[in-house]
Amino acid sequence: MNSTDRTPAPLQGPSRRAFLHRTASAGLLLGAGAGLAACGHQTSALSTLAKPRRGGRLRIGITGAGNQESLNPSSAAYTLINLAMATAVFDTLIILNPDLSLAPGLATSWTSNRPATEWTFDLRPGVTWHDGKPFTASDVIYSLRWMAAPGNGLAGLVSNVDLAGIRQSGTSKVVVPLKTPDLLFPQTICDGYIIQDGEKNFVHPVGTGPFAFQSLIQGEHSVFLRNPHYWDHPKPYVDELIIYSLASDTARVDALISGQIDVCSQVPFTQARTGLGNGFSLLRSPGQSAYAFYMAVDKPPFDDVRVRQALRLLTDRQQLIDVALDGFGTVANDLYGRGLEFYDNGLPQHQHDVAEARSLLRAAGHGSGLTLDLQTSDIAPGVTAAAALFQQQAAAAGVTVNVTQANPSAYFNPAELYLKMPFAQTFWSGYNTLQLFYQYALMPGAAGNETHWDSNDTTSWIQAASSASSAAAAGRQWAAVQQQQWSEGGYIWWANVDNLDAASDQVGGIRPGPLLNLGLPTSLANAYFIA
Amino acid sequence: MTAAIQATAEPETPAAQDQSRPRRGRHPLLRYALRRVAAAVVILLVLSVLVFLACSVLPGNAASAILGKQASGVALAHLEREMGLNRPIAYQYWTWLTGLVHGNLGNSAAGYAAGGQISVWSQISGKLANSAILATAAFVPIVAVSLMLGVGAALRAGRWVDHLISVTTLVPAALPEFVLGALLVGLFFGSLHLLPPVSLIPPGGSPLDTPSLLVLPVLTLVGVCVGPAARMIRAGMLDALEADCVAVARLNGIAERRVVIRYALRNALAPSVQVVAMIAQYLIGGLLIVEYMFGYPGIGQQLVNAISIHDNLEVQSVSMLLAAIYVGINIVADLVVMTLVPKLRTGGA
Repeated sequence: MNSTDRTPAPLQGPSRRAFLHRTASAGLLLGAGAGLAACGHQTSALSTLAKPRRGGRLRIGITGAGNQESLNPSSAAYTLINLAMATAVFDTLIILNPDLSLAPGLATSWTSNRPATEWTFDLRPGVTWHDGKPFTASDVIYSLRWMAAPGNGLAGLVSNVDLAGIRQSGTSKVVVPLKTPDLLFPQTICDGYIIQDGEKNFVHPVGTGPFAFQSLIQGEHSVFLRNPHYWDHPKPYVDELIIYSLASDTARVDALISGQIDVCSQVPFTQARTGLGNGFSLLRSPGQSAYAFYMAVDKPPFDDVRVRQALRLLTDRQQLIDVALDGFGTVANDLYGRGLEFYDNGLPQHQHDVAEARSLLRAAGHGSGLTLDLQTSDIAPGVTAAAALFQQQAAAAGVTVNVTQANPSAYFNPAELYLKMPFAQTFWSGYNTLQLFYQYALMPGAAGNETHWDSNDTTSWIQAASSASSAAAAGRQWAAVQQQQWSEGGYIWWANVDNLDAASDQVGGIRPGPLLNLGLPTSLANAYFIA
Repeated sequence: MTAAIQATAEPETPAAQDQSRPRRGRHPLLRYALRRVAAAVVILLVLSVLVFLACSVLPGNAASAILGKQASGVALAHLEREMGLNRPIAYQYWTWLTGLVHGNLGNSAAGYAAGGQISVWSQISGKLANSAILATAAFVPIVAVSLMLGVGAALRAGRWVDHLISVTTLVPAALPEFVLGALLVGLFFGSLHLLPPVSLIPPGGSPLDTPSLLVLPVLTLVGVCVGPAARMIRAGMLDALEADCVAVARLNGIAERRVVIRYALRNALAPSVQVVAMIAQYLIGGLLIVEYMFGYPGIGQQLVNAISIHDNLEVQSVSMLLAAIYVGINIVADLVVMTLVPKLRTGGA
C-alpha cells in the first residue's frame, strides 16, 4: 500500500439542504442533456397531475432472473425483479423516497440517544400480516437478527447492531443498540425488510406490504393481490399486480408497446433513444448506479500509483458514455456515491489527458509500452462495449489492453472469479449511504473489496466517519476517504448511468428516482390507472 | 448428442443383420423394436454419465450462485451441505439416477433460494407443456407444407413452379430465427397491428387460451424449417419418380395420376418419414431462440436459466428428458420406415 500520510482537508460536511439542492441541479443538467440526445424523452407530467383512481390490474415487465427469482428478501438486493417482488409483499421500518428523504413505514418515528449508539423505533399500531396475525415488536426483533445470519444479503445493514441487546420497550417500541455510534442508521435500515417472527421459508411469503403474495412461477410471472388492510390507506390503488419475467430486452419493450404490459423496466439505451411512440412515456432519472474499471492495488503494475493515475487520465469518460451508454449517463469522478450525503462534489473532475498519462507511465518505467489483461463480462448494459472502447483509448497512450470475456454468473461469485481479477469492471447500485459502500468496498477482508484496498488510514477514517457523533465530524472523515480515493484509489469510476424505465400514459404515480429503477421501493403502492 | 446421432445412423443395420441370420419368431418388427429400446436404454445411461460429468466439471455450483457475493465461509458451506453438494460425486450421481428412474427429479435451486423446497418437476412441468404445445403447433403445418411443396416441386422439377418453391422456401430458411422473427414482428405487429409481438401467457392460463400468441412463433419455425424439409422431400420424390417400378408402370400405360399416387408417392414415403423425424428433433432443441425472442415460457429458456445458475439437478433431468424424447422419435421413425418398406420388414430380398 502506498497511501500517504495525508491529513484530511478540513471540509465542512454538507448540510441536508445543500445536498438536496445539488441533486436537484444535477437533475436539471441532465434534463438539458436529454434535450440534446434525441426525441421521445417526455417525462410523465400528465400522470403526476391526475388523481389516483382505485382498481385495475397493473402488469409490469422486468428483466428475469430465472431460477434465482424468489421472494426471499435476503436476496432482494441482487436483482431488480426480486427487489420489486419484495417491496410488493414486505414493508420496512422506514421508507426511502425516490428523492432520498425518509418517511415512516412500520415505524412511525425513530429517535436516538445523544451519541447515536441506541435507536428507538415506535412501531405502527394496528398493522396486520397478510395472514391476519397482528404485527408486533417480536417480528422486528426477529427480522433484525435474521438479517445478520451468515449468507443473508442484508447482513451489512445490521453489522453494527448489538444483536443480543435488541429489546422491546413498552408495547410498541423496539430499542436497537449499536456497537458504535451511527447517525445514518435510519438510512441504512431502509433496506431491511421486516418478516414475520420465526419465518424462514419464502415459498409462500407472508408480509405486511401493499400486496399479498398469490403465486410465483420462476421465469414467467408472479401475481399479487391488493392488501385491503394496508396501513397506508387508500394505497395501494390497483387491485392486482402482475410482474412478468422477461429476459429479452426487445420482448419487454414490444410487450409494452403492444399493450400486453403497462410498465416496462430497464428500457435498453437504443429504444430509449429512438422513442417509444405515442401513449408511452420514458421514465428517466439521473442514476446513482455507477460503472467502473477497477485495479487490484496489490498486483503489479497497479501497485504503482502512477500507473493507476495514468489509466484514469487516458480514459475518455464522455466518449465511453456516448458510445457504451448511448449518452444516457453523466461523467463520474472516480468516486462512488454521487447524490448521497457526504459525497464530495468539491474535487475537480478528472479529465482526459493522454500526454499526462504517457508521462506518468514513462516515470513508472513503462515508457516502452505496457500490456494489461482486462476481464470483462456482460453484467450490465454497455459494460462489454466499454471494455472494447477502453482498449482503443488505452492504445492511444501506448497501453495494450487484452480483453477477455468471462461468464456473468462467475464474475461476481467469490467462489469463482470475484476479487481474484487484477483488472476488471464493476457496476454498483443501491447504496443509501457512503458508509455502506465504503465498509463493503475498502475495508481489508470486506466482501466487496475489488481493489484489494488495505490501508490503516482508510480503515480508521471510515470507522471514524461511520461512528461520528456529528454530521460535521463525519463530513471531515468522509472528505479524507474520498480525497485519498480520488487521488490514488484503484477505481476508475467513469459514469453514473440514468435509470430508464417506461410506462403507458394510462399509469400514474410512478416517480423515477436516482436510487433504483421504476421508482422503487415506493412505486408499487403509489401506482394507479388514470381513468 | 453423439449417442443420438449414432442412433440415427442405425436403420440400415437391422436389415443387414437379419439377412445374415436365420429368422426366428414371427414378429421381426417387435423383436427389432425391443432391441432398439434396449439399445436406447444403454445410450441414455451412457448419456446420463456424460451429462452428469459435464455439469460437475463446470466451475462453481448452485449454492455459490444463489448466495452471489455472499458465497463464502460458513454460509456457503452450510448451503452446500443442505443441497448435498459436499457429497462424493459418485454418490450424487447415484442419488440423482435412482431418483430419476423412480420419477423423482430432486429439488430445484429455486427452492433453496426461497429458503424452502420446490421440486424440479414442478419447475419444469408447466414449461414442458408450453413447449410441447408450441412444438406441436409448429410441427403440423411444417410437415403439411413441406410435403405439399416437396412433392409439388418434384412433379414439376426444373419448371418455373419448382424454382418459385425453391426460392420462396429457401430465403426464409437462410435467415437465422431471430432475424426472421424480427421481420415477422415488424410486418404483423409493426405495420399491420394484427398479432401480438410477444407471447406473454397470462397467469393461470395456457397458450391455447389465446392462440394468437402462438402464431408468430409458429410462423418463424415454419419459415426456418420448411425450406430444407421440402427440398429433402423433393429429392426423395424425384428418386422415387425415376425408380424402375415407376418406369414399368408408365410403360404399362397406367395413368400418370395413378402412377404418382400408387408407385412414386408410396416409395417416397420412407425417406419422408426420416425428414419428418428430423423436424420433430429440431423442434425439441430448436425452440430456445424462438422462446427467448417472443418471451414464451418454454423448456428451452428454462434450461438456459438453470445452466446459468448451475442448477445441476434440473439441467441433468431436463437434458435426459429431451434426450429420451429424441431417441424415442428415432425409434418410432425407424419402425415406421420398416413398416413402409416390405424389404426391411421381412428382412430378406
